Amino acid sequence: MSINESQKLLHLLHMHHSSFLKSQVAHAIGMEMYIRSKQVNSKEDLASFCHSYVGNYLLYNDAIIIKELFSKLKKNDWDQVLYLAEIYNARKNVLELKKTSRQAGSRFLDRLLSIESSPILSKWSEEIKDRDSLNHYVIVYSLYAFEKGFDLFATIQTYLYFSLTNLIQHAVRAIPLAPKDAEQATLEALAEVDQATELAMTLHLKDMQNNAIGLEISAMQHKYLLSKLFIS
Amino acid sequence: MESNKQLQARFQKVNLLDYKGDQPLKIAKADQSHRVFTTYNIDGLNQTTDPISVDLTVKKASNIKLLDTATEKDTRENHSLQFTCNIEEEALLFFNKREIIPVNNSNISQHIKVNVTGDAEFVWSEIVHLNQGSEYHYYSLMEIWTEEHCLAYDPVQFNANEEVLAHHGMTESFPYVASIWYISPNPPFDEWDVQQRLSQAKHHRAGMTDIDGKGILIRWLSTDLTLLKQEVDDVLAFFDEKITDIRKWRV
Repeated sequence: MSINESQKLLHLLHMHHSSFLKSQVAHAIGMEMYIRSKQVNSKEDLASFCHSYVGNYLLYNDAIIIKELFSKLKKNDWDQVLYLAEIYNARKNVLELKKTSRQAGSRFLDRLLSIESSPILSKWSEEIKDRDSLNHYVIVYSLYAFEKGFDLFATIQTYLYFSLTNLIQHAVRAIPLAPKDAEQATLEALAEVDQATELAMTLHLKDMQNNAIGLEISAMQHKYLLSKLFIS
Repeated sequence: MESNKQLQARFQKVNLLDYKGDQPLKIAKADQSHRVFTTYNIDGLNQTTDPISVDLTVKKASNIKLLDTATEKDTRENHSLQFTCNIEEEALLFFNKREIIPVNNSNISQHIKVNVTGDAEFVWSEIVHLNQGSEYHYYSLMEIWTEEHCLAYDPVQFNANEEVLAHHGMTESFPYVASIWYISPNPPFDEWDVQQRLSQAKHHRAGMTDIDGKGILIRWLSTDLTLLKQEVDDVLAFFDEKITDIRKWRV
């Protein structure tokens, strides 16, 4: 890895640092019902949840959107960028997940624009003035990553990795699990992150899919809980 | 040889403005009378392996209910449906769609694209059997637009025996999935009215979400087909009642 590439990687990693507000609590919202009903109650259960979460839910939705956005931005096809944002927004069926993702996108955009000038993000900010429903975290993240010239593979891989670790951190506190179990679950899922990233590089918008029905129903039920462990 | 089977219809308030259907696809007015709906039976969707293209228009202020009266419940080995529908202002399409029961070695693909204009409304319901032990591929893309804005883009996909489906968060070991979409800028009920109709029995899960204030989506995973059908019917009957209360004054 060259010095330039190494610096870019650090920059990309910093985008996922906890100092930047993120959206991953949205995914924990769906997991909460599984933890409460004791269906996710052990390291093995958590590994099962992570498997479907990374290898399916994130791969066939967020990862595809990141890849497609890079492709359209490369062609400078702004209409298609807006179309993809529209589709991603419509793809999120559950309102709670939508709101959390938008909230994170909005905070992330504001933070980035407050620390440096970014023509793409400024343009995006103008574009969504009357349509802030499209301002999802993954869209802002992809636009910024493209503008900074981050490698697509690394952009998807780090997104998946930090989504995974964030979910596990939430799970460890809520189940609860020993820290070593969390580390084991994370290390075991690393291969999944790699495989999912490799597969994402071959996928297109038409490959988007939803079969995480259980997660969706859990996220729907979350709204009606009187007390919540995870809120956005 | 494979050829496209087409069904085209434009619905007015109490009759069909025009209609064209290739055999075995057909739409016929049902005998049942209703205070606001004009009810039609749609048949033939499960009687061909040729790709099916259904193109419907619901003209302004019409209230149309479509019932899938398929005599053959199982899908064919190859089932491809392109369903396009435009619902004009003040109109409503209520589609009580069939159960989808994939047979062994079947490939089911459907794309439902609906445009809802202004204050028009759209209701769609469906139950899918995830037959354990059968080989099948099921893909269904629900795409709902309110003119230039996409309200829903839901590409549901199940492959039999796909290992990941058994994991937490997916369809797990549930053999039945059901969905009801109700698109309306002003649903004539409170969400609790719907919520109380969804049970959380053992091995039966249901959830409901608002779609950005422009409709609702209800989803079920169940092991109990009788209970599932009961709840789906109960929710649809409730929608029918509320819609009738509002629309009877417009007829």
